[in-house]
Amino acid sequence: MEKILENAMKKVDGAEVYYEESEERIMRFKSNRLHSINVKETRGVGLRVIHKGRVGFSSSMDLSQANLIVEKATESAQFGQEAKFSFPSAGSGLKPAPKVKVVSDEVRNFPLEKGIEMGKEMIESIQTSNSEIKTDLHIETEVSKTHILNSSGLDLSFENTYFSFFLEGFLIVDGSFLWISEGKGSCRLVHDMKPYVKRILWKADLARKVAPVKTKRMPVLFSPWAMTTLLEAFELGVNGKRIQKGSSPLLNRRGEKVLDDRVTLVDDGTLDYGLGSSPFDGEGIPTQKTVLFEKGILKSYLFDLQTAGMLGEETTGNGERGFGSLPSPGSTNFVLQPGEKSTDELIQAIKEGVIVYDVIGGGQSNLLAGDFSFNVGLGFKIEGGEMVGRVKDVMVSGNVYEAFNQIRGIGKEVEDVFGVFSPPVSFDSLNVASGEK
Amino acid sequence: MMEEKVKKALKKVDAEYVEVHLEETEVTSVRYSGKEMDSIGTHFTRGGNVRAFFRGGWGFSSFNDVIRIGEAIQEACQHARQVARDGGGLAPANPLEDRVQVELEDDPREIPLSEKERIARTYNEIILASSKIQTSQVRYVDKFMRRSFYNTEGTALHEERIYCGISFSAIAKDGANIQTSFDSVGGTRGFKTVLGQEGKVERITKEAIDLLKAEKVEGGRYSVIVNPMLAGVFAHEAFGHLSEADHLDENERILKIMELGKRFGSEELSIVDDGTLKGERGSYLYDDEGVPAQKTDLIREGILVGRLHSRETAYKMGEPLTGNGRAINFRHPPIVRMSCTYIEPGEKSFEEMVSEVNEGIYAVDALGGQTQLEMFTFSAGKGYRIKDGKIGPMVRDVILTGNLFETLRNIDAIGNDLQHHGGLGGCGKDGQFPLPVSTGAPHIRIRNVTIGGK
Repeated sequence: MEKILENAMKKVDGAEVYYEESEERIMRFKSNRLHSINVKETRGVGLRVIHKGRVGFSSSMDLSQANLIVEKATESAQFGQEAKFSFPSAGSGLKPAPKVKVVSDEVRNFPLEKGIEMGKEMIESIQTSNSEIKTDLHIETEVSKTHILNSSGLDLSFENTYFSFFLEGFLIVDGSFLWISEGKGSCRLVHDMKPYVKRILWKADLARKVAPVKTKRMPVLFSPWAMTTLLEAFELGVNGKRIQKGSSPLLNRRGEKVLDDRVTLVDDGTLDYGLGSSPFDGEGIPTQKTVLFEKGILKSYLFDLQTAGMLGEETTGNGERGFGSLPSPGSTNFVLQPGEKSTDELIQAIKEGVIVYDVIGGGQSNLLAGDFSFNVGLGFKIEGGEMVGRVKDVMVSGNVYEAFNQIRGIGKEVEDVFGVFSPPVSFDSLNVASGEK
Repeated sequence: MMEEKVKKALKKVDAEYVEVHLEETEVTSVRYSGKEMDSIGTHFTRGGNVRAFFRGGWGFSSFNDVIRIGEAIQEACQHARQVARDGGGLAPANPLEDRVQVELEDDPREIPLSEKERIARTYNEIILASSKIQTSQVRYVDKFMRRSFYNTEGTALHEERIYCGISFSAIAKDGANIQTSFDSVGGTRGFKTVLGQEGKVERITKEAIDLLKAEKVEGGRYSVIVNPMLAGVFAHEAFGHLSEADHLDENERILKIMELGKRFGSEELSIVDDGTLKGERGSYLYDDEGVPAQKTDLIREGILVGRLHSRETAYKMGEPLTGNGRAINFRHPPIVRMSCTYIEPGEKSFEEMVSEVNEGIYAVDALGGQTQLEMFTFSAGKGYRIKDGKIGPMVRDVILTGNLFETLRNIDAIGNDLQHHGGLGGCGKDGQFPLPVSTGAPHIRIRNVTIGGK
């Protein structure tokens, strides 16, 4: 690492070495039985240089190729983007790094046997209650180390651990396939799997009956899991790069009320054990909590050093990257502030509508403009304040910038869906399309 | 010598079957985003993996440092034994030895970086020349790959491949209305693949601007003519994934629905997967289990006749090998994947097809597609109304959804204009993305398709 930096500095004006190594262990269960154990060791180094005012970059997984990546990074700097930043140094007025917990020894020392046992238990308890369900499951642990070194004297390393599982129950109801999924990802272990199993069983039970839906506008309630698709539109909208390119609908709207005043949305890299948490971003900048929308008012965008530099802004510590890529603005954990209603109250307040748990095809519409349109993977019809049966072959569509101004209610029960912390939210009136007129 | 070391290590293993993959890649990419160069550079990867099989269980270990191969073999064998189920096996494959090198007149590795930068910049400038364009993205990529494969049955294969392609998108904006149009080319034919694309670039630029004024399509059921690009994505996403035997081998209920011999469509409908097509993005000589690529009939004259296999699924289902065990890179084990999947051409011309529609939609290009086995959703880049046998004004937000089986039965015309498409992206499955594949189809017409919309 030091040698790469040293070699690079013989040729260029400034340089940064980003090194990353990780070990992943994955236990995969297929159709109720353990199928494979995968262990992956990966490491690599990325070299970003600034030469004659331009950015160059190269990366390799082969650390003995130091000279080659210095040569390639220097070559690419001839054509590279004009650098609008300088490499940060430890003493150059950077905020102190947050004291965020991102390492768990339980994850680091997680024995495979324990994972296998966990998986078998989950599958057994599903089988005992409902033998119709076939379960695929993977449980994954990861330990990663990052080391960032630059020519301004910055030299820092940090570690992260991750634990995640994803459970997918398959069954056939009424001659058609149905998947029900649950899962969680965080920097620490999930000890109690029972609630996830219970929910799979509860949904499978409720899905037995199909309820017809007419094509029309009606209230739609999104579970935290389904909310992640809608929040993705805001993630695109506040991305500093899209702001810089002028392609975001949120351009030049800071200070403006854009959403319902119940909406407060935060990007927070400092949440203990959050999947997107870390003490530093990929450029060595301390992570922070950035309020994006406060009571519906657009407050901030997300930046890395270069994008912020291009617009005369400050980085928000959102330089996201791996060793094989240049940093680019990216979100850490997304947190939508909860409201006051229980999920049951939200359901009870709907006379005729749909509750969506899972969507298919969320990312395919013009999400950048806020448009969404997806097929309901798992959802239920609500009639007179009660869930009456599963909806089948139904599409829900709308625009997030409109929908978030027509909120019926925000729930109080926040769920962490792989780094997106959201309560359930119900919207007044979205397009629901089915085969029935 | 690495080869000797691997062969020797494979002589004595503690499992029924062990394979070793070694891989090196060199990727050069250039990306313009709007007026600015976004990134440019060359990247190297190197590593390998060991996969071991024991009584139906798999152990897999990947590494960067080839020195670790001995340890990795032990670890994978131990894990395979830990997983061991109740028997199972692998379909027999012939031991093969081969060494395949890339020989191209215009090998992208020989082209200077300045030329790659120039090509990307030229296309980018065409897009940005239009005042209604807000921003753009042009991405050039070439990827050289050398893979070696060894197994305990004596197979030793070395295959080089080189991909080269370019993608371009134009983003037009008018207030909150933001529209994107996108196209790409890619394959294994060399640097010439990316040359002479000015026409395509001009077309997507115009389309993005036209989309600003296009009306949103009205939701409902329509007769839809689907262009070759989108029909190919449909064949891949909606049907192709269902033909992957790892969805079927341990799920007798899906298997029953996918029973060979069942009628899936009209006699005109045939769908194949063919990894041996020359120069396409999804082509290869050997899959990542050392099985030669081949042409596999999936639907022949409307009848389901075949599916895609790895050695594991072919054994379980007692069906022949098809050479579809593929991995995106050395960090992942091979799983059942498609190669070049396409709908075979029929007799009808596009004009005839349109002239027979009183009221419908012409759906063009694909933004993406997703399936949950029988249910699919995919979005067209744009569409046009068809009225009284003529193509009318452009519409946007055309998202098609439905049940695969119903939709295949509702295909009522197949065009004579088959086209294959590669691009830069690929297919995603089980966390492995993007795997180079091609999709292909002629124009097809489908009755009674649900389109989501306003």
